Amino acid sequence: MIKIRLKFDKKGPIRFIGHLDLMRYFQKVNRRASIPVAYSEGYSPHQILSFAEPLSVGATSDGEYLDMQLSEDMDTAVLCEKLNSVMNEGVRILGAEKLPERSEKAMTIVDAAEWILSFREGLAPSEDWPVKLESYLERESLPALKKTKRGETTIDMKPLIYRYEIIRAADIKGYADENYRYTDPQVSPDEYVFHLLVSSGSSDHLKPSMVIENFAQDQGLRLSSVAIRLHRIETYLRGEDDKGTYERPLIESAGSRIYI
Amino acid sequence: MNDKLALSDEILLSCEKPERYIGNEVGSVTKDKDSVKLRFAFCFPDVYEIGMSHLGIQILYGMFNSMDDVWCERVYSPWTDMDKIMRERNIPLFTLESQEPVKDFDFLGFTLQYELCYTNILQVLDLSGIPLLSADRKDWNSPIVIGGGPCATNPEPIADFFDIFYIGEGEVRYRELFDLYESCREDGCSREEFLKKAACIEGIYVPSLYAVSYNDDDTVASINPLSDDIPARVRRQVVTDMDSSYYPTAPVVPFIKATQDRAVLEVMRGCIRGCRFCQAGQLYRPKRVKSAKVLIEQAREILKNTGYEEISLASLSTSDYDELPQLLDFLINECGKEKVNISLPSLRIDNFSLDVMSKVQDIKKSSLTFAAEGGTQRLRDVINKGVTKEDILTGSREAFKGGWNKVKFYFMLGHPTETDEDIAGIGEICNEVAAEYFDTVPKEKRNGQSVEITASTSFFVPKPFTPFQWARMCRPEEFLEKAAKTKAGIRSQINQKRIHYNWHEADASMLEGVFARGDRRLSKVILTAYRKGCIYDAWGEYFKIDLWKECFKECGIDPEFYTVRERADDEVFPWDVIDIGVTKEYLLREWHIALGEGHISPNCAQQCMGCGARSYGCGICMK
Repeated sequence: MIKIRLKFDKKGPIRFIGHLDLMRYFQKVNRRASIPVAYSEGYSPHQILSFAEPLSVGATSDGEYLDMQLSEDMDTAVLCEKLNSVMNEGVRILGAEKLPERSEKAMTIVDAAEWILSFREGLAPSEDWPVKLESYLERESLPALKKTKRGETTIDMKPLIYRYEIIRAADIKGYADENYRYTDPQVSPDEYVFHLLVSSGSSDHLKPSMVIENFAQDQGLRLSSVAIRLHRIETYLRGEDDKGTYERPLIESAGSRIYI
Repeated sequence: MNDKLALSDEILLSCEKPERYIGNEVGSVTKDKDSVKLRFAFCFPDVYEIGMSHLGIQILYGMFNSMDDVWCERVYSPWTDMDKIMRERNIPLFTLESQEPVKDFDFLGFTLQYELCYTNILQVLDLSGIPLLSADRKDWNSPIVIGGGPCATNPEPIADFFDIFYIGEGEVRYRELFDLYESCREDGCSREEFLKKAACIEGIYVPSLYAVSYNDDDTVASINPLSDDIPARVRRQVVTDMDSSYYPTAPVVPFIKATQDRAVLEVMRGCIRGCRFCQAGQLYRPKRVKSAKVLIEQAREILKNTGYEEISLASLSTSDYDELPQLLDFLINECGKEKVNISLPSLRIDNFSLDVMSKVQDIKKSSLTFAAEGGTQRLRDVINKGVTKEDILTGSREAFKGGWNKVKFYFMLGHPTETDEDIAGIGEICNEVAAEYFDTVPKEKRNGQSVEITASTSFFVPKPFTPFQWARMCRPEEFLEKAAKTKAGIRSQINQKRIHYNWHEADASMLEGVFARGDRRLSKVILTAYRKGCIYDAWGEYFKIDLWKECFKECGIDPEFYTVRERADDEVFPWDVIDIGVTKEYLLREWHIALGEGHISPNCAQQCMGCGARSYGCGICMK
């Protein structure tokens, strides 16, 4: 069994396709491209695919990941090319990496995610939100209520936000990939947006929108439930080397290590 | 990619299933609107998941888009949540591909698959900002509203809303219609002139060019064209050679799970059986097959282009397809490699091959479904089902031997001549099938399971162009009484615990019955009902029978005139203006056989009964 990790983007109208439908989409893509994908055993064999972290409906991304298994070996460049030739516009394979046989699934190793948050037209909580958010984020601690299976607990968001900036959309550089530039036809280049790297994955998961929601609540600002436009730049795993603890994109080639 | 969406993110994030409105599916076609001469919006007037499952639109969508001068796009009924939002915010209905208003199109085509979608047609027109009545669409500011599909063979109840009905299979005459449209627009013809010219194309029915007169008893006296140059009757168009006919090998693949979430391979059109209640069995005559060679090619292409994990062999009666063994051998071999499932709907209990079924279906999960239609041999002969009790028992026994333990039977209640004995027969036959299981499968082989029989009954609705078009339809109360008797009959059986019973809604069947054999005067009832808020009538939770009754009353129309009245042999029917090839004389003969001796008639493969479809000069008629 060959384990492969794919990086892909999700943009345009396809941002409204839900997680399960995207899974079905990839199953069909694999068939269209005649990828020798491995199937599970049993009465209803299915392709062995898993996403690193589901993206909420309406959000766009340049840094989604999918793990899959192949029944025969294949050059990753050829794989990407084959997939892209049958891909629907709006989803594109950006890279692929072969994984060691015993590697863990992406979904279990996700540790951080890099986001851009902006406000949909006319739905910003206030005009001077950049200044207000900046000073909010400078506080010693940022307590927030988090819903868990057992009820609600208070967490501190502060240590879960690894990096952030409030910056013009055009000036954004990726934390792991300096060359990354953000463009979205719905966001003007001069608009201020909230760029952040937060803890993600199963433990200490911080939904980026939670920061804005708590900020709005703290400031007594009204925030519509559909106000926040979400864009994921990258998804990270945690590692350690002689320089210390770092976060790096789920495939090595997607960017450099960020020491935290 | 079409990045522009008609609906804002805010709306799309607050509605159910935004995927219904964003287009961009694999296989959807985007063209440069300035490079085409004709834009066609194709509508299935029901929710996206239902509409996307329809083969007919996929065929015509692909065919239209293969023409350089035409861009065909899709539109479906917005679901009730979106309907509300669009009305509140004055958002005009748009097509999925360009996301542009339907109103700006040259044509708006509706496929008419069932009668209970009629109010949804008005919803689509209304949300598009197109006048609901054809008479109010006088200039080129509105698209030409055209309808086709099975319900277009009696289009009279919705005649007021349509400019044109296309009678028959769309592959045949649309090019001619488009050419006429383009030349009329170039020449500066008026809409009225165009419609007059269109009415002279075979298969094109322009209802406003025909006048209907009525007798004192409210039956139709005559339907005549308003001028001599308009044909007196409109002939249904059929594809004469299925192999060379257009078939979409790169259909649109929805992101969300549609009702039919699989590739569809149409193996043939038409049916040889001639069941006397069945409209499709008459409407699509003669039986015309595609060769296995062509089908194998198409199957390969479709699977490659769509990536579907299942392929369905579609037809009215797939076990009647001559080359089924060759086709299945290929598919089983090819699909097995690719982990693609094969589904075989529409099998007859008297000729399905268990060997085949066990190869293509997962026995553990699936159930076998058979249409028995009637509880006794006498009744099955009256309706010309051509299935014997022996067939049912043998077929079930074979299925049980093959490892199935779930069998479903469909029956219809309310057939002409039906008696209590026929109703009791439903319970009896189910009981015998259960007994067959216990006799066939020894206890040690049951693996702790037992037989599960499901009996489903629907209510018989007489349809135009069938031998039963003269028949009386039951009232809802009668239907419910029959269902209660069926249930009691099942419950009195020894094996009753192994039999599940379910039945359909009676009031909806009543309305279906009214529209099926209705006339032009019903347009105003439909309009009134729509104005009062009736929509999605095919969906139980939205069907408002009391409101409908109120509308009939308000319009001074008695629905029972259309349903419970048995027609005289010589009655002029509203749909007599349509010529489907099968003649009224033949249908009447069959009706008399049903009421008289009640014997079965040979099927087309056995003997020609002279139904009239031979006039098309193709298919089984020429064998």
